[in-house]
Amino acid sequence: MAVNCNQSMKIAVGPVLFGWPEAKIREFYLALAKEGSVDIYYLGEVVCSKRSISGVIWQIDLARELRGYGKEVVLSTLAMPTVEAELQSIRDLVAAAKAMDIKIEANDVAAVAIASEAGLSFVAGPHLNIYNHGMLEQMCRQGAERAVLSLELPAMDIAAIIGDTQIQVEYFAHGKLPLTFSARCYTARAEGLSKRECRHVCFLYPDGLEMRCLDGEGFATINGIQIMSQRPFTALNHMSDLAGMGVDILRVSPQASGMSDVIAHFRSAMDGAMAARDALFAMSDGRDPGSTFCNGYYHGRQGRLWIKA
Amino acid sequence: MPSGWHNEVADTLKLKVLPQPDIFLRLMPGFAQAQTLELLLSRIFTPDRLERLQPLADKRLLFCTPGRELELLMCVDGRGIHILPIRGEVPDVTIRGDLAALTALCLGLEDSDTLFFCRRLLLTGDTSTGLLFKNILANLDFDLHDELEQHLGKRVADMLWRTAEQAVSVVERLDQSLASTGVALGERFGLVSAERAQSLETEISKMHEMQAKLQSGLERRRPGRLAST
Amino acid sequence: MNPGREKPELVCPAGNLPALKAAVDAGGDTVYLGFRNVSNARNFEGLNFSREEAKEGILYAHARDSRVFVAVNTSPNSHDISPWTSSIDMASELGADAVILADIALLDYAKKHHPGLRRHLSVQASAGNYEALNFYAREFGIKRAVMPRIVTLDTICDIHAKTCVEIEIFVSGGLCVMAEGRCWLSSYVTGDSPNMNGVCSPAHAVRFEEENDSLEVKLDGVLINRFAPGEPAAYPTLCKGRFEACGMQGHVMEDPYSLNALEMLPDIFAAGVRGLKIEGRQRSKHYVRTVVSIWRAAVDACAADPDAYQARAEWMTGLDAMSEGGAHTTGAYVDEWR
Repeated sequence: MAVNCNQSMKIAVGPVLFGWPEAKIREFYLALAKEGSVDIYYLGEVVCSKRSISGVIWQIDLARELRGYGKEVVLSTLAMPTVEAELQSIRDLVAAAKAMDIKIEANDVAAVAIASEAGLSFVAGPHLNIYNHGMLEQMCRQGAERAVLSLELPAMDIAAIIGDTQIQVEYFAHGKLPLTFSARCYTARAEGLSKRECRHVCFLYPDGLEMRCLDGEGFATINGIQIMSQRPFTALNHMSDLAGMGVDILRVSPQASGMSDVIAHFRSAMDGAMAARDALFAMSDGRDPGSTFCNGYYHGRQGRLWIKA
Repeated sequence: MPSGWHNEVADTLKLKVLPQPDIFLRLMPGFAQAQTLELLLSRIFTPDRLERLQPLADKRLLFCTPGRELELLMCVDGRGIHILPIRGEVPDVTIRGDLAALTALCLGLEDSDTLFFCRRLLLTGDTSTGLLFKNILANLDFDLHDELEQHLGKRVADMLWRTAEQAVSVVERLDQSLASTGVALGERFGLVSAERAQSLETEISKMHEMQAKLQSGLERRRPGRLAST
Repeated sequence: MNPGREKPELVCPAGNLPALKAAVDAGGDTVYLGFRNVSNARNFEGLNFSREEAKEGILYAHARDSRVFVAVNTSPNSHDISPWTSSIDMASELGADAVILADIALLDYAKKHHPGLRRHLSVQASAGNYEALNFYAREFGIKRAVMPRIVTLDTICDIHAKTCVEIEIFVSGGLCVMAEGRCWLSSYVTGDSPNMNGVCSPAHAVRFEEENDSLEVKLDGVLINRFAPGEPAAYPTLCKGRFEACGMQGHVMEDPYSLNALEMLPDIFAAGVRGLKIEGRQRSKHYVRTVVSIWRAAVDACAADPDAYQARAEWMTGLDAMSEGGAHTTGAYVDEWR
């Protein structure tokens, strides 16, 4: 029975993708740590280096603190480093991770290179574009012990990609989907500012800035240099199938509110305390999940859609 | 092919917009025009070229001008290219443009994306069929004038080419003078602001530039042959 | 290092054989093309090369001292990798001068099976820093990389100083405003993406509709743009669409401009860039001929005397006349754009 399968799965909380002040990030992770339902914490700035106002030191301190709760902590790196200072922040994270004997999540090939050279095992993050078995094997060769496959892949491809690879697989199972990266800050642009003089305006939008079509239909979410899905993706109801495909960990991506409930629903479905379908229904406040969530990518369809199982 | 079928085509194939067509074309009844065009296309599209059109098989392509002065519905199958009666047919894709733009597209004289960007050409309906048509046409890369000459003789080929050239130049004259007059009247009677009139004039002159380019494209290709017109 | 002394190579697009010949005849040093299958990022209806066409194109180019690069720059799936590997095999067999690859599985394949075939890193790999470039060079022997359109020219200069990988940058044509290879907007709306299907805003999902004199553009039913009568139109891509944010309607991501770096050419030379890439495999031979001719003249003028070089007005208007939106930008090469 699939429930047994579920029980061996773990829940991870992904890095905060939005612009949150350091205090809010600390508070968010520590509150979850006290609840104790999460198995793995990812933390670190993935989207925009301008948000890390006091560098990476505080992230490393927070990582230490979270480890005190006896759970795994992973330091996530920036997805689009281009300049020396950004590469240096990756080197700093790799050095800190090595000293603490924890992993980093590599979100750019630069991070793969730096971790591999340092002999540090890493998580191949969702922005490395793992679409096939060959790429996954190459990441293993460089020292990856876990991988998050490309978010736009249909779930039915997962088993074929894993093949005989001895690697943990993590699936982005809940949260707004990070869809793009650009050189330009769209939040600043919407506010009539430039990226250089952005005044950290993204901090005003802890769940991102809504972007609509001209006919008023919801379209997407602006998050600094990133565009995300309008609705959160969820694969809560496909948990058993994912376990059957060889997925070991389900990632929940942070949002400004309600995360404790989301994690509780995943936990109860995973532990068999509740049927996944019922957990989804509860998470949708009793409404049609299609009015709240999207899951098209899971089914190999348009990412914005909700496809009924 | 039954002649009744081509009589129906005659009602729908509206080539009357062609300016000052050669006496030969003017005297030819509509069904005969359709028949002649089909015959001509069957000569130009030799079996290997027809083979390359097959991805378009059974698709209905409608070419038309914005005011529907010209409408031409075509489809391709394994035997050839056919002109179809428009009545009752729903095209898969409509390729709409002024006569100059359509001429330029079909003769391969202008980049179709450029025509689209400046709003001279529009695809409605199944965009992928339209894109396929555009790309197949671009890849065939034959010289239409040479083809016409080979199949119809130099005299008729030059005549058809001249007709195409006239189509471009007449549209150019009409478009610009009509549009400019309209804007001037609109401004005079307070229907458009001076500012808007100015921007419309700019648009018109841009359009004019484009048409001049088309014209020179035609001339560049056949300098000797067209000098006499 | 002696930047600015070597004349960069003009790398020109060809979506079909007539365009390839036009590029070569107009003075293109190199033409890049893709095969007619899912293996390249311009997998459009009726576009690209069959084996026979590629063979003829390569012979044509080589006979005139031009080179041909073959783009195999989408990511294979795990069910059937053969469309990708056979494309690399074919490029090698036909004597292509380089393959342009993005996926690491394919870089590995090409290195193992065709060690003598020059490997370039596609823009789709989105490698915008020297650590990544050096990694690809060390592990997969890449000789050149096309920069994603997210780095400034200053950064390109720094990258060049810290890698032996040759740098190629886009200088003209359609402007992708996202980090190429890391944009899933197209699959979010249509189900098909550049990485998996080689398409962005695929034609099957595009509908142009006229509504009260204005032109509406829908992508899989989603309204992504509306053009006023007479207003220059743009490709139906999401990043150039009109949306609403903060109560304002407009181009939330990017205005429908084309990239044109003609005015920056002396700085580009000085940055040590080896390849100047022109976008537009979807365009006709007329476009290719015009654009390549302009760039040929500009590069030659800049090489002859970089200090006296100035982008001529007729070059700029010539490019604008054929470009998306009828206007241009230098994009991310200048920091202010961001």
